[in-house]
Amino acid sequence: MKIFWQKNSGGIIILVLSLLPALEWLRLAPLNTRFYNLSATMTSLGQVAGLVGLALFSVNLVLTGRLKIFDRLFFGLNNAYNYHRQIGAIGFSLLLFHPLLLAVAYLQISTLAAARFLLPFYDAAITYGIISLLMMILFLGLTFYGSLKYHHWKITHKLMLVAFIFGLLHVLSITSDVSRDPFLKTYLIALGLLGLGVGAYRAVLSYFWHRNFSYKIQRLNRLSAGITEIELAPIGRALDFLSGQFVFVRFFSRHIQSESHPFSISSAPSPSQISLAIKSLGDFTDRVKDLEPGDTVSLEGPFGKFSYRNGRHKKQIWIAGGIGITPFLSMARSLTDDRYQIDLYYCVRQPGEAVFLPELENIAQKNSALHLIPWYSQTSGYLTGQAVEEKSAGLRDKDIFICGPDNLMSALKAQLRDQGVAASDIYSEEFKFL
Amino acid sequence: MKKLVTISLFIFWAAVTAILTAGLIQYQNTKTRAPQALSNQTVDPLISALDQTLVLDAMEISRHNSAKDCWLLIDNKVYDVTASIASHPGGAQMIISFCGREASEAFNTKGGGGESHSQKARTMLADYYLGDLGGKIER
Repeated sequence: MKIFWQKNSGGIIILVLSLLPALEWLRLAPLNTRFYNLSATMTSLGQVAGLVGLALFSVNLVLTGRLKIFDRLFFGLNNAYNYHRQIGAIGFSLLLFHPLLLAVAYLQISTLAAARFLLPFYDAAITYGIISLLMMILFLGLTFYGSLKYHHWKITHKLMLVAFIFGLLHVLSITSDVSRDPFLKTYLIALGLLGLGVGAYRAVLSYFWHRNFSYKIQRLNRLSAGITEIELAPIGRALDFLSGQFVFVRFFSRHIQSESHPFSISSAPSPSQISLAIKSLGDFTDRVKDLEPGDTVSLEGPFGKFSYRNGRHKKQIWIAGGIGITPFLSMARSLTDDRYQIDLYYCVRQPGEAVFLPELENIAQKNSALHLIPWYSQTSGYLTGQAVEEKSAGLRDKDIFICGPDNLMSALKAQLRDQGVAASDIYSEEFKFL
Repeated sequence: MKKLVTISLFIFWAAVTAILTAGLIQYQNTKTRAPQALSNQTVDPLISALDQTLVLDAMEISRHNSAKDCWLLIDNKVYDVTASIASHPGGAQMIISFCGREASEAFNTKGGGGESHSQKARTMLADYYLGDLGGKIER
């Protein structure tokens, strides 16, 4: 039960924050006047869609904040981003239906009245709403359907703040339950300003005002299979982390865009050095191999709950798919407690891709806590929950950590659940979240 | 989640396009019936039709005297209650009989029933406020 709250408290808070305006709205007028007939019902649903949509939009801006507390509330900051994506889609859809449902009442007067309602410049408050919605359609259209380069995408996504400001103006200027009820008004303003503040901090202010760690590149190990391991040394204070955690990394180099990306730390905690193992998977990561010793790096973090030290059991199963090995590298490199009993599955297509295998074999030889199982999908097929259960002699009372490509994680999680493993015993890290 | 957004966007644009097209057709029908009203205007007719100043005098109020276009004068304030007729708890017919007229007494006595409307009803009425009697509004 405790682990349920640990993993879901953030989601529950979001639910309460976004449904509170709807509950207050319900209280404001008797239900039979809200749902008197078709047109009143549609108007009511339209109002609720608007209220909840705006609350979700506010919450979603707060979720962009990369705040330390999100690690606790969402059991890892990466899960806060998962919520961000889902809430964004739900909130946006609600806001699209908001004017449509309200238009039904106008349709009962005349189609001309409904058309007039949907057009701007008739009423200032409605015009703000229309501007806001059109901006959202444009910017989120690019997010969902555009194939923009990351830094272009990021600019369009930041412009959502402008859409949000127009949305707030719309809510504050229109005559509605919000203008009549002081609680609803205060609540929406407070939540909106909180969202605006955090969103503006993340979009603009964090460039100037932050507590990031400065590091310098010491060495680059260009391993095979497009993987580069970068060794960094602190310039000032060193970052203190738990093995398995990740950081947001910004490189300052003439070879690479100075944009912030999340990467798992691959080294064991140490005051003098941090390593990142990065695989070339796109525009940005392609250029990581061109970095040079001496380039400076800014690290923000650490974040994440994906660490064997957060598990409940000493018997654990670690499953790594490809470059998903990085958090496990850090954990294996720091594993000193021999009370642990760990099976590490290192899944790659063929032996040549398991670039960290020699080092891991070395660790496993010296440390009886770690048992290494290389898995080659080319000869053995994809790893299945069944295979894990057989090789590890059962799944009971074990924590299972999974990090790898999306399809590997979702397939394995589903299989393990079918085999009776509780969701609370499965830890996964989606490292492709931005 | 992308599917949800795709479906919502599809419904949104389908409905908006349908309403705007139907509105334009209805507008052009009314225009052909009364062509002189817009003869010397060249801007977008839908928008220019809205761009007029109205004086809220008795003459103007009396023009809005139907269930499809219903203004009420209550305590020297003008309200466009057209959108609320259907949802009136006391019945639509009650309001319709006062469209385009002075309705203070009816409102304050619930159509002669004695009691006045509740504070809630008054705040709901505020939603439909157009302006004071004799004032000017943009349409």
